Parts: sequence; C-alpha cells; structure tokens
Amino acid sequence: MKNILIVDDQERIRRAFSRILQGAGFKVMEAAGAVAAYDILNRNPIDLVLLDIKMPEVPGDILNDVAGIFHRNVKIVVCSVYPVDEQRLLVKGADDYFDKSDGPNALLKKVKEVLWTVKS
Amino acid sequence: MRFHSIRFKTNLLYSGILLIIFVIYNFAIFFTVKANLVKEFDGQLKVKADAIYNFLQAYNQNRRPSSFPFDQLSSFFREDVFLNNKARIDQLWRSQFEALGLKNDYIVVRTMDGQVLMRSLEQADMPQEVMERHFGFSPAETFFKDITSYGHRFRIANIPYYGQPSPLVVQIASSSDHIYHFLDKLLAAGLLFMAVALLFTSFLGNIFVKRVLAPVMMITDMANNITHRDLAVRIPDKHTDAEIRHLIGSLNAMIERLQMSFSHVSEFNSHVAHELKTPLAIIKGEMELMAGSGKIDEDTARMLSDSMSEIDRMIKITQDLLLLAKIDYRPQVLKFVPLDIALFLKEIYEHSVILAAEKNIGIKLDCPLTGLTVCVDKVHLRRLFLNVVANALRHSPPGAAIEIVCRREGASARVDIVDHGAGIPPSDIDKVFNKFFRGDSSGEEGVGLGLSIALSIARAHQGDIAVANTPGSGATFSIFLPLAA
Repeated sequence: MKNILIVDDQERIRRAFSRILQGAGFKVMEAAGAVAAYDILNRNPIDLVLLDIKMPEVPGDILNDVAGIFHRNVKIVVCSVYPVDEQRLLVKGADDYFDKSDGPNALLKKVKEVLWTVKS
Repeated sequence: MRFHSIRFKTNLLYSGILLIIFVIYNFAIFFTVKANLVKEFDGQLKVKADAIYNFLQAYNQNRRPSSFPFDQLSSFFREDVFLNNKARIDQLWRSQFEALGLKNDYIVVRTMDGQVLMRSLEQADMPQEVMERHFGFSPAETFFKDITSYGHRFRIANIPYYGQPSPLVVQIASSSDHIYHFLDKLLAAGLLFMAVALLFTSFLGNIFVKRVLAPVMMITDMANNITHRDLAVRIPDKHTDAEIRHLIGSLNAMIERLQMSFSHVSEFNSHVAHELKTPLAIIKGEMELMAGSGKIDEDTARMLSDSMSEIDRMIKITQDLLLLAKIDYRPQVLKFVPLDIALFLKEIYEHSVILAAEKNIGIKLDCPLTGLTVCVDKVHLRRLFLNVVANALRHSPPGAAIEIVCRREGASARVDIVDHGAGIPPSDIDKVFNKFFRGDSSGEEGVGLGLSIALSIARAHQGDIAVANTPGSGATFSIFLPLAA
C-alpha cells in the first residue's frame, strides 16, 4: 500500500482528494501547512506528496528544499489551480504537475501514473 | 521647420532683436558720418570762397575802381587767362587755383544786388543755366545746400563778403559725389555685414535651440512608444538642462506609478485565478465524488452531469481570461526560443488529426518549407494554432476537410488554416477576434475567447492573424509569424 500526503490549506480540497484516493486503496495523510507536512514526513514513510503552491509568491527552488530535507525517494506532484504550463515554468523538478480544477478523477489517474513510473 | 514651433519663434525673436539693433546702429553711423563729411566739405567751400574773394580784392586794388573789368572776366577762372597778368596776381591766383582744385568747381561772383559780375566756364555736367537756377541768392547770409545736376550731386555755398570798396557774394558749387559714394559704400558694407551676421546667428541659434530641444523630441518619441508592455523603461536624464530634467523626472515618476498599477493588476489576476478556481475545483471534486458514489438516482445523475459540464465551462472561461490577461499585461512570461516551423506544424497536424477524428474530418498538411525557424514561445504558439484549428473544426460539417498550408511570405511565415464550413457572414468578419464573440453556428461549444487568445498570442510574437472567406465556402485564417534572422 502506497502512502500519499496531501498538503493543501483548503480543507474541502483535501477531503475530496483524500476520499477518491482512499477509495482507490491508498493510505492518505493530510497537512494544512508546511509545519504539519514536515512533521508527517519525518514520522511516516511517504511515497508521494501532493503539494499545493500559491503562485506567484512561491520561490522556484522550493522543491530542492523539500527534496533536500526529506526522503530522496519521495515523489512530488505540484498541485495547484494554475495552468500546468505555468506551474512547470515556475517550479522546476517536480515529478509531475496537476491542475486542481481537473477534478478528483483526473487526479487519481495522475497519481497512479506517477507512482507506477520508475524515476529516471 | 514649422511656424508654430519654439525653434522658429526663438529664432524669430533673437533675429528680430538683432535686426533692430543693426538697423539703428547703421542709421546712427550713416548720419553721423554724413554730417561730419558735409561739415568738413562746407569748410573747404568756405576756404575756396575766401581765396576767391581775397584774390578779387587784390586784383581790384591794382586797378582803378572805375575800370574794374568784371564784365570781361567771364573766363576769369581759366588758368590761361592769368598767364599775361601781373606777376604777383598771377602767382597768387595760380597757387590758389592749384591748391584749391578750383578747376573742377563752378563759381559765380555777384554784386550785392544779385547781378552776375563773372562766372566759370560751363562744364559738361554743370551747365550754367541749370546751375544758376538752383543756386538761389542771398546777400545777407551764408548758406549751403545740395543740388543734383545730370546725375551728379553738388554742394553749393553762398557766401557774402562785405569788405570795401567792393562787397561781393561768392557762390561756389563743388561735386560732392565722393561723399555719397563713400556713404553708399558704408551703407552697403553695413547691410552686408548685417545680413551675414543675421544668417550666422540664425544658423547658430537654430543649432543651439535644436540641441536644447533634442531631449524634448527624445521624450516625445519615448512617450509615444511606451505601452504597458515596456513600463520598465525610464527616460535617461543625463546631459540635460535643469528644466528638462524636471520634466523627465515627472514623466519617469508617472511611468513608475503606471508600472506599479500594472503589476498590481497582474498580481490581482493571479489572486483572482486562485480565488475563483479554488471553489470551482472544490465543487468539481464534490460533484465527481457524488457521481461516483452510486448513491444517486438517474435524474440526479443527469442534473449532476449537466452541472459538471457547466463547471468545466466556467473553469475554461476563467483560464482563458487569465491567459489573455497574462499575454496582454505580462508578456515577459513568454519564453522565446528558435523553432523549426515545419517540425512544429507536423506536431500541430498530429494533434489536430486526433481532435478531428471524432467528427470524421480529414486534416491535410502542406508545408514544403524546410529549415525555416521562428522565434516563439512554443507552449503559447501551440495554443494559438490549436485554438484556430478547434475553431475550424467547430465550423466544419462532418466529413469535410481542413487544410493547413504553410508558405514563406517575405520575412514572415504564413500559415493558412482553411476550413470548408459555412464561412463567416460579412457583417461578422470584423468581430471574430472580439472577446466573447460567438458565431451563430457555434452552438454550446466554445466560450468565444479562443480566437481572441490566438490573436493576442500572435501579436505577442510580433505576428498577426487575418481572416477571409475561402472562395467557394468556408473561412481561411492566416497566421503570420516573423522568421528568425
């Protein structure tokens, strides 16, 4: 069973994504902010983080920080309401990008793709 | 140079001032010099008249008064007349005659009652009749005056002598041409100098004013060319005068305020994106979960499905508006890289074939160009082409074909996307790029922003899109992109 961490300040988004992912058999944990996310990542073996970013405040090298501090083998999907093209330009190096307005079904598909792809 | 320009007016002002000063100066010089020359000339005439009178008195004293032969001395002033006269008189007169240059003057000697005692021989330019008509006569006072005879100017002196035994009036006319020649030359030189000086100052002044005003022209150019796309520029204020520097400072401050406003607008857009799309994402999430829960009946499922497609539409509109705002107000987010147009169109073609398959529409690509590159932001250029293709697909009947034709046109690549639908009504052809404009046949598909976005993207690439109805049927959208140098 894969462990997924959802980092998002919107409780309803976390709930909707969590339900669809749990329905598909994943173990899901939720964090509303960076501190909580840090805590969970330190105590639990997480396979994938769904990381909400708020552009344009987010610094472009945030993922280096995240990857540097936490497990090297954790996969990160940047997950926000901005178009995927813009996310990709702003935050480099994530395993994938997701536009939250595509809905939970599309998210489930993306999560499966990312988890079953071997990191090159 | 226009008449209503600071340059012209400044030039006119100091040229005018200079002209007035010159004219006054020239006149003052002219009249002072003239007065002095005439006074000096009159003095010379007086000297001559004195000499003549003294001579006549001397002559008279050598004869008895009764035999004073004035009436026989019409040729008195001719040199040869005196050759046989008494040696003393002769010597006196000859020396006076030579020294005073009397040979060229016209001399009349009268008694106090005006009767002519004797006169000079006539000369070509001073006939007796003309000269004496102008002389006038006064036994009571000395006077001088100017006359003109046969194009020559003469100065006339009328000088009475009251010495006994024979008081006389000596009248003498002498050419004053040389004075007026000199004055003419003086005037001409003054005018010439004035003209040259005026031209010179006008020329220098023009250059000076042009230099002073050059920053104004530069500011005008920059202000004319500033758009929201390049608000980062500032007008340089080096090497300018204090007044101009104030102006530049004010303009730069204004541009800075505009820049801040625009950056607020684009930040605002970003926040709007987040604030609008987050609830839409939540609604969509909840609806998908509800639809997948299996706890709803058929009616609810249908209503849910309708609502979800509307939510999708709202998400699409929000995204499109933000994209438009981004391209129009933050074009710096576009990343331009060189791209082979033929390879790019092949990608567009492959993507279009998949989109067109649903409606059984064929896509044809005609691109014989090789090795031509355009400098583009690929992500957005893709969006441009797919938007135009999607528009063509929307207006094509099932089974029709869409052609993508690429040609070089001057320094641009021209890509025609040709459909065979109903074409665009002439009344609508100007509106197809307007935001939220939807043709009649577009039905529920599309929100009317696709072509606006396409045009904005083309313009951000210094390109353009033109639209025309295809002869026969359908419409042709021509996309122009400047080729990379």
